[in-house]
Amino acid sequence: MENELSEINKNKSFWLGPLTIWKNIREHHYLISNFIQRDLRLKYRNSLLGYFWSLLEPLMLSGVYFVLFVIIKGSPEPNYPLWVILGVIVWGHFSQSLNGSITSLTQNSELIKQVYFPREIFAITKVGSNLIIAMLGLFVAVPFMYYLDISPNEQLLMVPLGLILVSMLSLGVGLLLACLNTVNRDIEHFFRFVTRAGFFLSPVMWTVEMVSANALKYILINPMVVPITMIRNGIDGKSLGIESLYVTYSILFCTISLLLGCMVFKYYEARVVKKL
Amino acid sequence: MSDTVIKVDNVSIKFPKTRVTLGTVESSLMKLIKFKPSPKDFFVALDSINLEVNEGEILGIIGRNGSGKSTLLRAISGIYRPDEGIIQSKGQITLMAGLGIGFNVNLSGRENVYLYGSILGNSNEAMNGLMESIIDFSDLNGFIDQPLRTYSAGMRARLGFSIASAVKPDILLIDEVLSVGDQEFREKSMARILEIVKGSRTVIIVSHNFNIMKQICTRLIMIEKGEIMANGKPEEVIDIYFNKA
Repeated sequence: MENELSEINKNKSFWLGPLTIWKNIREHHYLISNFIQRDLRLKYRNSLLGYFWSLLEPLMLSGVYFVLFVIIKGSPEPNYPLWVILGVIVWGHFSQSLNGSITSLTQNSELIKQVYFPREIFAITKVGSNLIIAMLGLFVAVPFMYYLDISPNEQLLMVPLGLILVSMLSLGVGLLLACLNTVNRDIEHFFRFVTRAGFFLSPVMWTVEMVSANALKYILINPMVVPITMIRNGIDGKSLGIESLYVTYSILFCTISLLLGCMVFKYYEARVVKKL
Repeated sequence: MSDTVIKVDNVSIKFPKTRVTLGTVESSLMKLIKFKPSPKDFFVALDSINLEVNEGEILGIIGRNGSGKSTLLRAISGIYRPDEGIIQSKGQITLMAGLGIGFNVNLSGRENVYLYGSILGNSNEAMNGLMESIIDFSDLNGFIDQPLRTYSAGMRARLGFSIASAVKPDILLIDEVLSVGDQEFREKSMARILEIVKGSRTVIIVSHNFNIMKQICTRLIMIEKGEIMANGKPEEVIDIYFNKA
């Protein structure tokens, strides 16, 4: 053995968090892919329809919202069912990823106490498997596009960007709060409420076009409005239709929350393990 | 002159005694930020531990329940960060403890080999190469493609031991797992440990089975209340242990 002794569990600078996590992802990609495979295999095991549930679930959910919309507002535009389905899929990805990463340390405490590997992997695999489920779910749009005679154009490029932003935001906020949640479990209860309330305050059942210009200013404070609209309009073949100032705000919000989440998580990780 | 592969330098580890379950968000925020509560809130699990382990050594750790043996192994494997002092090491470390904690009961034995293997830090290709020997050693030939929920507790432990001992780390830490399975498998796992030992790799064992410890360890340490009370030849340390009782 040629190399020298090296320090285990070294205390690293707060600012190095994102870099450390990036290094760990590359070093442990087998573990991440095995964990994601496990999650996906287990999600639909013993079910006849298997992966089709990724399509059926948002489809059925959207059916309910469609009926609800008709009851409240009367007959909607022909493309409305597609908009709702896309909103439901994206919001599902966000809320599952966020709640999953917030509880990632508390849910896996047994494993964390027996084996060492970087603990951000739990949150990363949660977001990763939900991203894959969302991408599989998006194929439900294909028959709608055929039926509504929408031909995909260059706007489709907004779809991956939107998905990346949603994943960044849920991972960032999730990592930011995962450590705090080991000390005080109120966090996870509160954020289950936040994701439920956010459903109504984000363009899932409605679209930004339905909102008055005055209200839109306040609605766009919610960083999820831009990514959802990106995915929705991208598939619908329309331009985003949101001022670039708000788009920049949303992209910055997601990026900063991811970087901050990585820093906070790495900084407090070693201390909170003792509280599990 | 053999090489030092683990160096534990003046390491202390404290655990918070009370959980802040009823605390307000504000108070827990303050605790997380400042993290300087009074000393009486802590349980000292390890108190200024100094220890060096050389390559090829089989070090046994004995001590009463709650004396800090497992905490020391977990600190060496990286699970707990020392509050004071530093731990240095050389080479890949694997901790065998709570065998099969990372198993999923709904996946097959084979799938669990990949899963547990990657938890211990090994690629799927590396596990492919070890698969035959793992299945052979665990004696689970007819069961390996069955879901784990059909296994008995002993079979799961056997699979866990087979995977953890097959991956051949440079340094193996064993926490009370020598007594898994039936008599036959216990003898086999003892033989596997001796084989690892002969391969001149380093092993640290925590066990209450003094007969085994006497047989295989080259050195014993005794821990009490987080401090090393004795360090030396197995027979002598075991004598000290019983004289103190």
